[in-house]
Amino acid sequence: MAVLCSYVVIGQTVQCTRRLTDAEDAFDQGRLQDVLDALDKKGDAKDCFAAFTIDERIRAEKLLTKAYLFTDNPAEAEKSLVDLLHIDKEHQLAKDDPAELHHLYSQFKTEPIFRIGFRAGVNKSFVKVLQNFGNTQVAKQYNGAGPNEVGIGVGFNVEALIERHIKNGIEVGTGFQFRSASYEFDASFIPGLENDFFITGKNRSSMLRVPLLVRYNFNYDKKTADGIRLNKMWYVFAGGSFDYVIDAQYVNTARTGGTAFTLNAPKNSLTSAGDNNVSQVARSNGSIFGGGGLKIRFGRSKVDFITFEVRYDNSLFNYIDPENRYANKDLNIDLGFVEDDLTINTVSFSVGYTKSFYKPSKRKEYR
Amino acid sequence: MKKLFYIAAFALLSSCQIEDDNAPKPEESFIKYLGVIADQEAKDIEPVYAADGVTLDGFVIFGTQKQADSLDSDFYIVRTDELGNIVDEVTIDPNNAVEGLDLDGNDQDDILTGNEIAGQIEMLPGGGFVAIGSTSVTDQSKDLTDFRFISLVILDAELNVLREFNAFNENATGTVPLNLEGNDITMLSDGSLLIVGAIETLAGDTDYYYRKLDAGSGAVAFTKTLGLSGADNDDVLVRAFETDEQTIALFGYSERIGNEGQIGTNVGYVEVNQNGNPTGGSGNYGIPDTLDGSNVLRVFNDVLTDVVQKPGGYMAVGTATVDASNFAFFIDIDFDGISRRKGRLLSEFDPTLTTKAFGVSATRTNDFVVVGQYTNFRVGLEQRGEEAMFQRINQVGEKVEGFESNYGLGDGNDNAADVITLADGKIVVATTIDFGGGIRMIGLIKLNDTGELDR
Repeated sequence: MAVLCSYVVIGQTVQCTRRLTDAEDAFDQGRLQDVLDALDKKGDAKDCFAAFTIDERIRAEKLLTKAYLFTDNPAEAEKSLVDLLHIDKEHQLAKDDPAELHHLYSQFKTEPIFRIGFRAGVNKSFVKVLQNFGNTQVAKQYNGAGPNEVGIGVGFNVEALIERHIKNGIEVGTGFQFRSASYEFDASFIPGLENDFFITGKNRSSMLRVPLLVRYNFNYDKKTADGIRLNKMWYVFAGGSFDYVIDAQYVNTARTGGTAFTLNAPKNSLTSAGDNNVSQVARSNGSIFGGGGLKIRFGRSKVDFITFEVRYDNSLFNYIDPENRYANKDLNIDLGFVEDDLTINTVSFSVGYTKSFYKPSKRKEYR
Repeated sequence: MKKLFYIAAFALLSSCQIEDDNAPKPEESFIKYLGVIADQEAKDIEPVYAADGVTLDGFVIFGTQKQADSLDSDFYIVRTDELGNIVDEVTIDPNNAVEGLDLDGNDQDDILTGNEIAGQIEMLPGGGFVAIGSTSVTDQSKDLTDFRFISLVILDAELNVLREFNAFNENATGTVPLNLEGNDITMLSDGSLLIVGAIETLAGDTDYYYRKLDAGSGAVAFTKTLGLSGADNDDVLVRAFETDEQTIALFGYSERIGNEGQIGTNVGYVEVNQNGNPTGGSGNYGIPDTLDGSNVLRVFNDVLTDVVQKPGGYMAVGTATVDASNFAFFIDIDFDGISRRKGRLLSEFDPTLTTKAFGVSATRTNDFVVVGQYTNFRVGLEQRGEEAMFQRINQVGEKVEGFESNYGLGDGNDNAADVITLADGKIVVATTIDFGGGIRMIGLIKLNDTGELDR
């Protein structure tokens, strides 16, 4: 039975392909009514539209559009064109397509109504100290700059943005980003005795961010001499972000010297473990950012993108809540560590995928 | 478009972080550890003023320090700027050759090595400092055990030692090594220095001791003793103040039980004139004894540790010992020697916590900040060993609720040694913080006028 079914399907496909070829021949010979009869979706051709390959459907819809145009049936031509654009987003007309088709095409919105971009990547923090606090005879050193082995402040980030093209390659976008950023510190109490008495640790924060960006895509509408859109597109962007610290905590934070002391849970939390159960970090913050990247067209229609992006985030406000800097005695006294006023700036590299969404329709001025 | 790009790039590269102008600044409150890896102990803290005598220029802390490879502790003096950063520090071991002391009668000055015990430090009008303490010598080869004499050091503003004095009990001999201790030094209005402490007149009996000397030459104007005679009658002077009438108020503790004194050790007050002679003003003050469960009277030994002048009188604090337990106390004494208020400084965390008072300072609102130690800090599930204690009482001797706090390491033997308040109301405390492993460091904590680490 299975063999029989396969035979039936293959037979139907072959018939439909022949039907489309015959229709194209009829169009070339000016037998437009034969085209419309052969590709009548409500008639014999109904099953064929289900059996066509994608390319065949594109050829069929385009052929129908032209046939309707030349039989003075603009309403059906528009329907066919919309069907075509549903199948082949941003369908690119050939230079030798009839002028009537180009004219009709120009009356329709063929660009995406929005895009959704997903990106994931790694970041490295750069601490900018606004004011030193604590034992400043020996300044704190961040991200591996000190004599003891601490990390370089690596984190990760994922984001989902909804983007919209405005014009001339300019896009705006907004969405959500989750960023885990950390900075690692190395501090000593006593000049000259850094190897005997020191504090090492990591401050790791999880942040929900709401970025708003403007992006400029170079050569957004540029095509090759053959009328084909460029496969790669460089871009730059800049924007601002509202940042909210979901959670922050110290990881592997300890003092060497005397009786060694390690800051353990729950006292290692910066968002809730102060002696008065207050946050030692500013939960709300803001930042500006900018960067650049490369989009590579992806998928059959070449309207989605794989992206590679480098970005610099410049936090605007103090990460530490100055009112609660000393809220955790285990940190300030047992460990002997007092946070500076600082901002966490990051450089990130991410890889992403951008999906385009369409709703083909006639432009307002042509309705 | 290029302009937009350049603007965005400039904004990023210019790194325009914004600091809140209303946020506390580093000099407004801090916790800092000073010194070196050693066994340090803070005793006294004083503000340091600029040449105009008004502008605050930092702090000076007087204490002791014992290096890991050292046999004994030495005086340690550290000067900081307003932010608590070390400006100068010096370690002084003043007791090698004790000028004029000849315990063994060989007509040569004795060379003694011992542990320095810090007393008080005072800023001198020229910008230098004078520090007083005692040296305790234990030397089996000389048959000395905890033999004490006064050590006094004068330093310039950069903590360079200008002069060292040793004063010892002139009745001490090799067979009767009587002690002399220095606890406080005060510069009087005539430019001379007044030393107060305790002198051992007989073995086991100490009396009040005070000596006036010229600050420049060290020439002695007078040396006086006062006290009860008899073994175990310890009379020890702790603080001295010059009054507006140029009399001198001496505070200490003794076994005197007259006046308001109770059975046991009581706080004592004596007023003397510029020649060291009593004017008649005096008093004894004790924390009222209480009954134990079997109606046996409990004897409180009230040992004075610090006194501060206030409008109309003095506020004295100390530690009372009863049944091997301790609690801090205060006594409010007016200029006529009458105690206005007195009481125990129990903890609002848990009134059964044992407390000790080491220092007191008057705030600009005429409250009093009392610092000291919880000897066994256990509140609920939190157990932190000995902790530095901060309490506050108002003008009528009532605890200021919400101020009390504790500082220290989880299992260290920590304490707050002394406290000062600044013209702007800020409170600065010298602490000893025990990091374990034989390392104790001097901690400097600056609080706001409500006792918080905030603006």
